[in-house]
Amino acid sequence: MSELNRRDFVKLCAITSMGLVIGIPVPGRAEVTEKELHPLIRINSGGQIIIYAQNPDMGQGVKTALPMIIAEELDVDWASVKVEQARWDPRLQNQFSGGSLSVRLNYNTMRQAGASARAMLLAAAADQLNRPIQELETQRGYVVDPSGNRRLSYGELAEAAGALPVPDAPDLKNVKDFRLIGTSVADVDLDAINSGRQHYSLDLKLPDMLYAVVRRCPHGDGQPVSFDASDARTITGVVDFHVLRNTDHGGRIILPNCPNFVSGVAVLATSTWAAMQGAEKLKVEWQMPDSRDDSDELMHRFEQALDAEAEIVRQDGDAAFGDLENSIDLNYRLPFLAHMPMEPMNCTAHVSGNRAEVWAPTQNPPMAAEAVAKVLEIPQENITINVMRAGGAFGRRYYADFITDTVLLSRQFGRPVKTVWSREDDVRHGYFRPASVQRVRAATSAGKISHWHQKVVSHPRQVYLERDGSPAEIGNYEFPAGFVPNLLFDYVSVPARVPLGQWRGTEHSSNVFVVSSAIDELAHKAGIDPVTFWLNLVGDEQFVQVREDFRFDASRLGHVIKVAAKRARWGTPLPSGKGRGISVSYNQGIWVAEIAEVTVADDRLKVDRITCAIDCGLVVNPQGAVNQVEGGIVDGLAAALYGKITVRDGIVQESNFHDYQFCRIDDIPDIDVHFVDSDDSPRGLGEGPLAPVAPAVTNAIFAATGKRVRELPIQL
Amino acid sequence: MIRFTLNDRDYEYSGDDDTPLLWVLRDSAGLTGTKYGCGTGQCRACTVHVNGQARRACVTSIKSVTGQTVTTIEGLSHDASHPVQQAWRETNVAQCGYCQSGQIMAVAAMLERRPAPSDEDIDREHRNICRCGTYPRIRKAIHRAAELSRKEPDNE
Ligand code: FES
Ligand code: FES
Repeated sequence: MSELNRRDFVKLCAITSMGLVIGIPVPGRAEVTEKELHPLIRINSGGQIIIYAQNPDMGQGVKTALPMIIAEELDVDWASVKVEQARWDPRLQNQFSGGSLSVRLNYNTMRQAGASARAMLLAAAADQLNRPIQELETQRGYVVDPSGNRRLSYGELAEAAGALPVPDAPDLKNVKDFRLIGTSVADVDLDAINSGRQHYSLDLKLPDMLYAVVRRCPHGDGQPVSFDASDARTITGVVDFHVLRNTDHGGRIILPNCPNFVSGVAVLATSTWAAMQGAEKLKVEWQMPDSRDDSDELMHRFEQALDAEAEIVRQDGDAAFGDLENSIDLNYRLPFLAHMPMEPMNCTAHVSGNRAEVWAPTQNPPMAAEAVAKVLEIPQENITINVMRAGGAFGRRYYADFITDTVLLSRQFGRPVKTVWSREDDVRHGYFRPASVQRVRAATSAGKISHWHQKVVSHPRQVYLERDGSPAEIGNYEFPAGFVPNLLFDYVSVPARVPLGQWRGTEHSSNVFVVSSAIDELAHKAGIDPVTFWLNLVGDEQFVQVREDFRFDASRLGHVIKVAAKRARWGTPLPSGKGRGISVSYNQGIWVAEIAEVTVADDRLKVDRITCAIDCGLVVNPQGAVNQVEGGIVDGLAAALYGKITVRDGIVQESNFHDYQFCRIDDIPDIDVHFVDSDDSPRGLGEGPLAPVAPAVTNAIFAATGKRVRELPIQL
Repeated sequence: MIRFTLNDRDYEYSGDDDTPLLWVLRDSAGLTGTKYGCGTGQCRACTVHVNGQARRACVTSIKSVTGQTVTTIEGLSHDASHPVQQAWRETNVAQCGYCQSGQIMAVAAMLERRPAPSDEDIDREHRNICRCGTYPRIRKAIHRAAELSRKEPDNE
């Protein structure tokens, strides 16, 4: 299909509600028909295979990787596949992107989807050719009868196959027969992106649509009392105003783990610019809540709470130690971090009667549907969520706060509404990675860690988001649990109202900094080379039973450490002012070792090189995987160098890229990514490579200068 | 009424003089390849060419382009065949892709001025933010684009 028609098709999908697109116009040919063989697979009579990407893509590549897995089992040429983004579909499981789980949770489901459709095509062919099914095979889009040299294309078979029942447990390919998985495939949207034709939801324009910019209360818990729009009304294009109070629509947290919109006054206009200017010119009187946090004061309270009574998360042996040699007692401080996806938050909605259609760069379509149903008080089956390719997300788009206000505005004005956030709105109304203060008291004996007590103090995300379960921002399975005979993890919760949410790796991004930093200090205390010290700690046993239900493959951790050390030429001499540092992590099923090489001259830090060895099981799309890992490393570096949200009087102080900086190209080191061969099932790569960057860099700073950095962002 | 040339066509805008070029392109002209990232000249996601030079459309008022020639990503080539776009494709630069039209436009203008930039030139002059961290491939793709441009001296 030509590019033009491809786009027309996309547009058609974007503006029709609910109804499935059955006929696709192809110039100069009769209408082709299309048949669904699975919620994620359609085949048309012309032989085109349409595979729906189940999970949202925000740059992590699942719009390519998940359909590849289906195509592999379906046995079709990748070139014959057209990929579309699936809408929210309650028939699908795990239709969210978060926690590095898209590939990990859906690998088997995607294989089964492809394999069931293939089995249905085989059954239809057996019927048409009148041959036993086991004597037929598939070859890249055809069912072939080797005996009679006959073949039928999937396009010819689709209609009949689609009428057959979906088999429960179809045969899966042998992993060693994979032809597509494990090969590098370009992102399915690459050409559209490079030509500026990729549609993000911020680019949508519906007929009769109004643009909305909301002037939100600077404090997320505040409410508008009154407003004066006399100046705002003078802006050409400003149409109307509407007060949005979350207290009228389910409150600040609308569902467990799902913040509602921040209250404010919406300005509706005929263009983005008019709406933005109108919002700026509004005068609003706010009712501010009594509790007004200050992030510096909060860090101070966290520090004081290090002596408070703590919730025990895990206890092995006796972590209290007297005056053991080579012991450390250190505090670490980690800031609040923002997401700042490149595409600011936005959403388009069209609500009419008791039906709603939404276009949003959401990471979490099922939660979006649930939240919309709740604020509009309509059944979920009346809701369509069109999942748009997101310009980055990093955890921020997991929530539905940017969707719930938009649907209310559309209902209010009876027209489609696009809500646009300015960058300032985006930074000030984030859900931040929790700040924490952590204390590690630990000791070594005979070159290994004998005692480890890690205490985490923070204000808990779990409580802020009204989720059930322990608020502890440290898990009982986290490294080095299982590797140290006397170990205590405990947690102190200090209540506050700074908005919190998930971030790339969330607590893992903090805890790895603490663990890898403290282990480096212990190694130096004991006079042992850090890589050797890590390998001693990991030990020689292949498996370590960390928890009853969690057997940790220590050999895979040891292996990535050795590979990283070798590739980084660990131990070879460096000129003065340069140093190397190692850090290691295990998160969401992947093992990572990173080594940073830095130069410090005149108190200026330059990260020269980062070597990353990673074991994430089978790599579905190596080119996409390298992009993901490089991106995670850059994100980790940016957070280490610049990331910090400051709150004064309950109000976020940073507002844009000038005061919440991100790396630019001159900050970027040489990055060497090496995937360890594995045919274990694939795991997600979004989060694992990020966390080890900061401690690898700070440990390298120590090697270069003798100076320890125990607080982020790095200050020399 | 403000008149200028937009991707080789005459364009007229009758709204407010102070409107940033960015929003005229996106909301009025329907050219959404030019992206909004910060609105304050920081990120350069909105980079376009004005008379062949890279400009940040979010801090360029529409009246300042009166009579000028504006090129957006949609007008850089009709089929993504500009050497920078080719290099971007070969190198699989994009992740989310949102910043990439700005990156491509900034690099295309840089290569006009500096056909063979060194790594130091790139560090100094290429200041676009990519929040996904595609920088290692951006660097590679810039060198590749320079090479492709030398092979196709006529390509505009
Ligand atoms: S949007 Fe123009 S520089 Fe960021
Ligand atoms: S590719 Fe996502 S911001 Fe650059």
